[in-house]
Parts: sequence; structure tokens; C-alpha cells
Amino acid sequence: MSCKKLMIVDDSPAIHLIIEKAAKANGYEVCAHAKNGDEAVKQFEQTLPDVVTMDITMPIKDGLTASKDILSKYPNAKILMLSAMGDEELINEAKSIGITRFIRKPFKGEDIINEINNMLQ
Amino acid sequence: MGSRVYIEDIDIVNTFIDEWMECLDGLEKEILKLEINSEDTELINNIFRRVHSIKGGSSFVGLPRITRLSHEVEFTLDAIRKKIVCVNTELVDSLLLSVDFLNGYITQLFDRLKEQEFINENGVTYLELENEQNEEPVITSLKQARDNCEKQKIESANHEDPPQEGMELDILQTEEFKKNLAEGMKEQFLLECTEHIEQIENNLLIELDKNGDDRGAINEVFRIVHSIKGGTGIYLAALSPQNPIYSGLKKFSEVIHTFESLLALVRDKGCTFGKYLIDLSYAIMDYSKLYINSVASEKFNEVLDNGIIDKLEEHIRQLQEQSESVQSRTDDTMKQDMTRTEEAKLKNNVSQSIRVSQEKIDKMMNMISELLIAKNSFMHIAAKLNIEYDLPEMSKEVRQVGAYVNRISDELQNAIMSIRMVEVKTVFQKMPRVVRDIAQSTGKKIDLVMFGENTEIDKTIIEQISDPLVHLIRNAADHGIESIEERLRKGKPETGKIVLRAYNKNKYVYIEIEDDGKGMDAEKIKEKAIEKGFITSENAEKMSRSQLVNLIFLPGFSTAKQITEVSGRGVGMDIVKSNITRINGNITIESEVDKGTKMTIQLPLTLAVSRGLIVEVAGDSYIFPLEYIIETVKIKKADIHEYKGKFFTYLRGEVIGVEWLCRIFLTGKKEDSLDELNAVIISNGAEKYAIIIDKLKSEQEFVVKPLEGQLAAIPGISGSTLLGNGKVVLIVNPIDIIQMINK
Repeated sequence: MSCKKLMIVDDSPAIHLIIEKAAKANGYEVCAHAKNGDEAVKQFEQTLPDVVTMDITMPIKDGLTASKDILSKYPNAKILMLSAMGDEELINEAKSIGITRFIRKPFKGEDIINEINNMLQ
Repeated sequence: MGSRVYIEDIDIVNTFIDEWMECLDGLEKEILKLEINSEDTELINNIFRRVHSIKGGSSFVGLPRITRLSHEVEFTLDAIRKKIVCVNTELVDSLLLSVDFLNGYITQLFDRLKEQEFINENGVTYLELENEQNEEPVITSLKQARDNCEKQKIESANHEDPPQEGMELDILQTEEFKKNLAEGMKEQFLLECTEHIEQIENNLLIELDKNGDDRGAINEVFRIVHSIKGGTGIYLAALSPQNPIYSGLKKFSEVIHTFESLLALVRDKGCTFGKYLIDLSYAIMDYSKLYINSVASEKFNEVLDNGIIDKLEEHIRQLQEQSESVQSRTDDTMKQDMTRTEEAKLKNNVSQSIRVSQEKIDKMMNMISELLIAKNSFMHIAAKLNIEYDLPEMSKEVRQVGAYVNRISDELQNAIMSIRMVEVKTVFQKMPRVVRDIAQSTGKKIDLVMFGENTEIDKTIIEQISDPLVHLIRNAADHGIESIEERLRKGKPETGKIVLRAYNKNKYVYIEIEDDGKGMDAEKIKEKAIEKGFITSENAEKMSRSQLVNLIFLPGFSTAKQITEVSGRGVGMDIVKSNITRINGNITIESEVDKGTKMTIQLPLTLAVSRGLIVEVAGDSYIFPLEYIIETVKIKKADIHEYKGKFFTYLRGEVIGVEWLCRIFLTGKKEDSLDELNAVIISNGAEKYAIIIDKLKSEQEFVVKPLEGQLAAIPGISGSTLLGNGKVVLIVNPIDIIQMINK
């Protein structure tokens, strides 16, 4: 199996660290780090990752808008949305634009890897 | 009130803290701006995002207080954004209050992280946060301000939106949220409870048993039980009633609550913490432990409480009845209590530490072992350059580099070894309870005195030594110490004394268990050993007292009751011995009838690296582990005598057996041409033998590489190691060797 590429979108460097550590340990390549939705859209086009972990609340452009932008161009993009408690409304909104995978903070490294593995199957 | 921050990955925690500091930086100003311009969506979003980041992060690190408060702030901001509430001074005040709280809390955490004073316990690393502020008042003020603003808004503008009061509650009540929260809290709940229980059981109850009027200790027990109750309450609230844990937990919480009420009565009425109370407390601790285990293992069998609640309530009633007669205590004694509590706190000063997975350290340790081998090869090359290539200058240089590497690797090795070190306290603190239980059930009076609890030793060794130690202490208390009448009859003090001592000496850790009980009768042991066929009566006559006493370590030596004097002492002693020798330790006994018994356990500081003596026999090198070597001597051939195919000699007046290593390993015939022979004197604690070898080479550190497969079973060999020149050398197992000679 070739190395699957992962893009992490989150405004929190610590979350990047958590996901990256887990991803690397499980044979994923982290091809891009984005701090906001704007960067996420740009970097997606450049690196075409196999899977994206997307935070919802971010500066400049939030995760929902970014996902919408990505999905409109690449309808097969695989996006895992990271939600926090209290994000219920946003989750419903995300579902309406075709995002099906969610993971709730706090998660453990292995949780997110399981989720990503499932998505890529 | 204190709480703990569990640290799984320090990098991640540090990144979070940096992030929060950044988020908090200037947040105050932004909130003040909000007061002037509450319509600025960009501003609100900015504040919202910062608080949201803190909330998200805190849930990762496990800071429920921060998570709760930031969630509340976030919710308020969301309400402002949605124009459900209007912004007024009161609301801004409480938002600022919240930011202050977050600031204070996170700064404290930051400082503590900088100090690096982590506590490491059972492989879990955490930071203890004392004097933690309570977020509850801040949250209440926030809620209140929000409610007020909401009403204002509705009243003043007749807003159409239905009041959203229940909303935040809804979020907290959703099943999914509860499930997630409960999962996260379970571990914390279990850990906390276990620690609280241990503290009561191994520390406070023992103190109270000595002095039932120790108000400081009573207060402390009350405080801890209160903490358990609090923890249980929080966990209970996070569970949904459908959860299988729920009903059991509720019951547990009732027991703890009743216990707390009882303790409150004892405390307030100034009652003595008597025997009955102590027993009851132990019963409750046992019940709690059972319950905690059942939750941890997720086997929700009904934990029997044996009517503990009834007993507790009965006792409460009794106390209440007699209460009127008891005088209220004066301020003076109260003050005394305060100082005592402080003292107790100081005494229990826990060392702080970081949590690292054992695997990582083991890996480092392995690397260090490899480094050790590499390091040895420098010296080898240096010697080779000098002798074989005749390059003394070069050799000197290599030697210098080697010495440098040597120094670094030594320091590295020490540093890593010290990481693995834990205090023997972790094992010692179990003992008071063990002794107390036995004293209780046998009606003896026993004092356990412990020294050197802070002595450090490798964690793996601590784990291995725990069971044998409990066994030895139990033996000392049960069989060593006599009953009160017997002691008085012998003119001994009524209370028996067991001393448990740990100390460092010559790169070893020694643990001694000494009692002033009846001791062991060497004669009885001798008879028994002869009867069982372990020794012949001729041999027995030659054996010293100490050799005889040490016979009890032989497998199958004793079953209880057959020799009353040492009843039970033989049971499991061979297991104790084999457990200790497995970790390269050694145990010896000194005992005198009616004076007492002293067991000395010698333990290596670490398992990974040992020191040994390299010897040469018939052209092959072997290593003797240093801990079994008593000395090396030269023996004159003329001094070796033969008797019935066995050899022996006199060594400073003592007769010891002599054997040739080449004869044991069948690698050659004994050398007859030399007048003087090199010998290594080895001992298994009871017997000594002189092992004749050809050459004594050098003393060296070595890393044990176990032999596998068919090689593993070679008698007399415990493993192999690599020398600096890359040569494989076999490690001799002296215990085996002695057994082989005896056969």
C-alpha cells in the first residue's frame, strides 16, 4: 500500500501535533498543514490529500465554508470533521453539505486513526 | 481543593499551554471593546474563537474546570452573537472574571510545568494542582448575568425569540455528551479513589491505630473521604441512569456519604478513633477497593457490602446518644490540630515526576547497553594498536577518545538508570496494614518501624520484590513475634518489634527485615533437613549455624506445623528465594533462638547491566557475576586435599570445597603442573566453594543477553554477553555451579 496523504486543518498547533504524531506512527504522510479554511482550500489543490481532518471553528474562513469550497471542486474529497461540544448546529449544517464523518473533541490519536482508516476503506 | 493534570505527552501539553497563553493574551481588552460595541460580529467571533480553542484544548489535556468554564463563556458569547442577550456591565464583568480565572489557572499550570515537578505513579504521570480555585462561582455569576441580560432584552425589546434557558442544559444532558464525558471521567475517578483509599489505609488508619486522638489524622481522613464523595458525585452526574455502573455507583456513594457523616460526628464531638472505628474503616476501605476493582474490570457483580451502611448508621446513632455528655473542645486544641494537619501535609510531601511509558525507557536502556559494548571496544582497539600495530601514539589517542566516550556513556547510563528508580516507599507502605491485620487476628502487639523508605531502586526490581517482602513480613509477624503472654514469660517487652530497613551499600540496595521474636532453632532445622534427606548427618555436623538456618530456602524443605519453632517459615521460602535470585538478588538469614531473626535481602540497583569478572579456562573466557564472588585467592596445590573424590582446602581456618571449572563444564582435565592455582571463591549465601580457573583477566561491566532455544537449558550457564572485541562470552551461574558440585 502506498503511503496515504493526510492534510490537517486546525487553528490549534497542539491538535496538529496530536494528529501528526498518530498519523506518522500509523504510516500516513502528513502532506499539508493549514491553519485556517483559506489555507486549507489552497493547499488541498496543491497537494490533493487522500483525507483531510477539518476543524470547524477557525479564523478567516471556517471549516464549513472551506469544506464546501473543496467539495464543490472535488466532490470525492474525504473530509473528517472535528467537532467540539456545543457544535451540534454546525454538525447539522455540515451534514447538509455532504460531510458524513465526524469526530468529537477530545479524541485520542488512535481514535482519529481508526476513523481515517474507516474512511479510506 | 487540588486536582490532577495527567500528562501523556509533554510536547502536546506544552503546545496547548502556549496556545492558550496566546489566546488569553489581550482577551481582556477585546472583551472591554465588547462593552462599547456589542454589535461587532468580527470582534465577537474573534473572542469566541479564542475561548473555543481553550475549550477544545482543555478537553484534550483533561482540565474539566477549564472546559466547563470556557464552554459557559462560549455559550454566552454565542448568545450575544445571536442577540439573545444584550451586553451590559454585569455581563462584561463576569466575562472578565472568567478570563481572570482562566488566566490564573493556566498561568499556574504553566509555572508548574516549567518546574517539571511531575509525579509518576504506576506509569501514570500527572501534575498535582493544589489550592485550585473553584470555577463554580464564576460560572454562576456568568449564568446569572446572562439570565438578567436575557430578561432585559425580552422586556425592553419584546424579542420574538423564545427564551433559550434550557439550551445549554440540553447540550450537557445529551446522551452522547454524557457518554463521552463519563468515559473520560471513569479513569480519573478510579485513579483518584484508589489513591485516596491507599492514603487512608496505608497511612492515616495506621496513625490512628497508634493514637486514636490524633485530631489531625481524623480531619485528614474526613477530608479524603469527602474528596472521594465529591469525585463519586461528579462521576455519577456524568452517567446516565441506564449505564450499568449507575446503580452500583449510587450505592457506593451512599456508603461513602454515611461514612463521611460518621467521621463528621467523630470529628465534631471529639471522640476517640477507637478499635471498632478502625476496623469499620478498614472494612469500608476493603469494600471500596472491591467496588473500584469491579468498575475497573467492568464486571458489575454485586459487591457485597455486608450491611456496612447499617453498621455505620448504628454507630452514628450511638455517637449521637452519647454526644450530649461530651464537652465541646477548646480553641486551644483546635489550634493544635491545625499545626498537626500542616505537619502531616509536610510529611506527605510527594515527589513530583513526569510520566513516560516504560517501553521508551526500556528501549533507551537497551541502547545504553549496546553503547556499553561499543565503549568497551575502544579500549580493545587501543590495546590492539599498541601491541599489534606498534602505534603507541595512535593507541594513546584512541584511548583518550575512548575515555571520553566512556565518561559520557557512564553519565548517560546513570541518568537513565535514575529515571527507572523508584522509592521503596511504594512497597513499604503496604506493610503497616499487613502487620496490623496479623496483630489483630492473633491478638499480638506488634510495632513496625520502617527506615530508609526513600531508598531508590529499579522499578522492575521493586515490582518483583513486593510479594516476597509481604511474605517475609507476614512470616515475621505471624510466626516470629510471640504472643503477649509468651513474650512476658520470656521477659521481653509486651510489644513485639519488626524493623523494616532499606539502605544503599556498595552499589547494592539492602532490605532488612528484623524481628525480636522467637528466632529459629538451628538444631531443629538440622534434624528436619537430615530427616528429609537434604543433607547427611555427617555433613550436618560440619555446617555452621548460619548455614543450617539458610537451609530453609531449599525447595520443599518445610511444610508448616511439623516443626513448631519455625512453623510456616519454610512455606514458600523457596519461592521467596527464587523470586529474589531471579532478579540477581540474594537473601540470607541470621537467627538466634529467642532473640529474633534478621533477613537481609541484597538487590542490584538495576537489572540491565551487571559487573563481572572475566576468567579464562582451557582457552575459553567466562564471566562470573560479581555479586556471587566473595574473593579471589591463590591456592597452593599442596593445600588441596582429596577425600572420596571430592576436593577441599583450608581457607583462613575454614574448610571449603574446591572444584575445577573445566571439570564442571567438561572442557578439559584439571591442570596439575602448576604449584599455585587461581581460584574464585563463590557463595550462594549458605555454602562457599573455591572454583579453580586458569587465568583471572579483568573486571568489566556486561549486558546480559539471554540464551535461547536449546542453549537456554545448559546447566551452569545463565546467558551470554559480548566483549569489546566482539567475542561472545558465556556467563557462569554460580548458584547452578554449586548445585552441580554438590551432586
